[in-house]
Amino acid sequence: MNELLNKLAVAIARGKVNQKSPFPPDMKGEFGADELTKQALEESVAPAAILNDGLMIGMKTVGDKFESGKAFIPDMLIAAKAMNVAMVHLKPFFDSGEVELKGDFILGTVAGDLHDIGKNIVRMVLTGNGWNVIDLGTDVKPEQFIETLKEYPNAVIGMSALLTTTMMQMETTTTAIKEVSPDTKIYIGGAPISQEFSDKIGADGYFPDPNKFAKHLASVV
Amino acid sequence: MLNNLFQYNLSSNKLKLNLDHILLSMGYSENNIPSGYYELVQNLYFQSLDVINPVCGFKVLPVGEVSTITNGIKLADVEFYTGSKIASRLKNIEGSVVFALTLGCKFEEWVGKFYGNDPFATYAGDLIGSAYVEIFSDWLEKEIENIVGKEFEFSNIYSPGYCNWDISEQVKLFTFLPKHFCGIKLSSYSMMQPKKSLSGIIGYGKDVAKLELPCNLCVDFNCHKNINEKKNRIDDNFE
Repeated sequence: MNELLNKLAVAIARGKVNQKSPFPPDMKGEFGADELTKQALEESVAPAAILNDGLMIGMKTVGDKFESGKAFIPDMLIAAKAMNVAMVHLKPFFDSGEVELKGDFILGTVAGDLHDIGKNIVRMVLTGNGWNVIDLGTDVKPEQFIETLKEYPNAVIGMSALLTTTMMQMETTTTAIKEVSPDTKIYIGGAPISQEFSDKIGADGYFPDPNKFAKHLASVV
Repeated sequence: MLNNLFQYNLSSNKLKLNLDHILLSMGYSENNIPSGYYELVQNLYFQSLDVINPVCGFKVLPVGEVSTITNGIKLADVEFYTGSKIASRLKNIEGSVVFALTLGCKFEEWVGKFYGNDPFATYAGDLIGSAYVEIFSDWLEKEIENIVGKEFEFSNIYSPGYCNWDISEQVKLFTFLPKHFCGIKLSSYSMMQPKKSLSGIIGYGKDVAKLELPCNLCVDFNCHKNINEKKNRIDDNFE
């Protein structure tokens, strides 16, 4: 069983999606995350073990490399693709409550801003780290965050902005959310953002690195 | 002097991308690009050739229709508050060109289809789009210089949203161009749709200088184009 989960962790870390996938070239023809997850379930490996001892280990491997400068954003995204494929097999167990995700995370690019690549990277990394990410997309108004928070009252909120002009919407949105739900954690990110700005607008933190952010979330929630 | 509107529809093969540059922009150095990544990007690049529809155009405002104001410039009767950095670079211009370019809607739809199922393609597709816009703007810059005339010197390209020039001024910029010029529309927050579009101005005159590396002269912490500054900041945060 351990060997199977180890293989699964490697498939995730290397971004081996399935047997047909030509990537990575040195794993051509080998089983990928798709087949290995299916096989693990068929061999009655507990879904929680597949998630925690296989998939998450693979994501942690690539995340650690990222932090030490030996991997880059694309490596995490390639791993996230393999993770997504594996998660399809685990979805019924999440739906039934047999396996629990780390929590709910509401994510969006603030009102007025249409840029989404940074937000998308955060979504992919957090999903790969076991979060249920509710992605509201771009140009998200304060009331949309608040409405979604009613549905997921324990959720953490993440906001993104690319421009110095639209980052000001983060203050409006943070104020509006904190008014109705003062204990909700709000994190912000994006090219023009700084910790100073986060402090100024009353957000709970700023992270320029999605992997460090995922680790921080795991430590505080 | 010219006071005309020019419009071009380029063939996609005019915009040849250097795929190594895209891989380097992902963070890799020339010697550590992982095996198979080049092929992944190349495959996306080949697909993108079928979905880009590069359209651009510009309007030349002749000598005499440009003047300077405090922290900005005035084109015809329209005042632009560009901020001091851009204003100082444009202070000697005699004429100006207002331009816009876009890769079109199909490119955006193509990148969008990867979202949710192929994170790498979503990311690489976005970088490919940005690389096209850079090359396209270089091509347009040269074309503008040819049309306006070699007797003038030209400024760099300056765009709302960059170098502290507020993006809301993009609305004023588009008043110089026909409605939905090149198929570009502005959102209620003045952002261009399709996203992979660029608008801006180029100044010209006898005593105008172009900066080789404009970002190197800027210490603006809050600019996402200022890659060096941003990198330093991230490094500082994690030391």
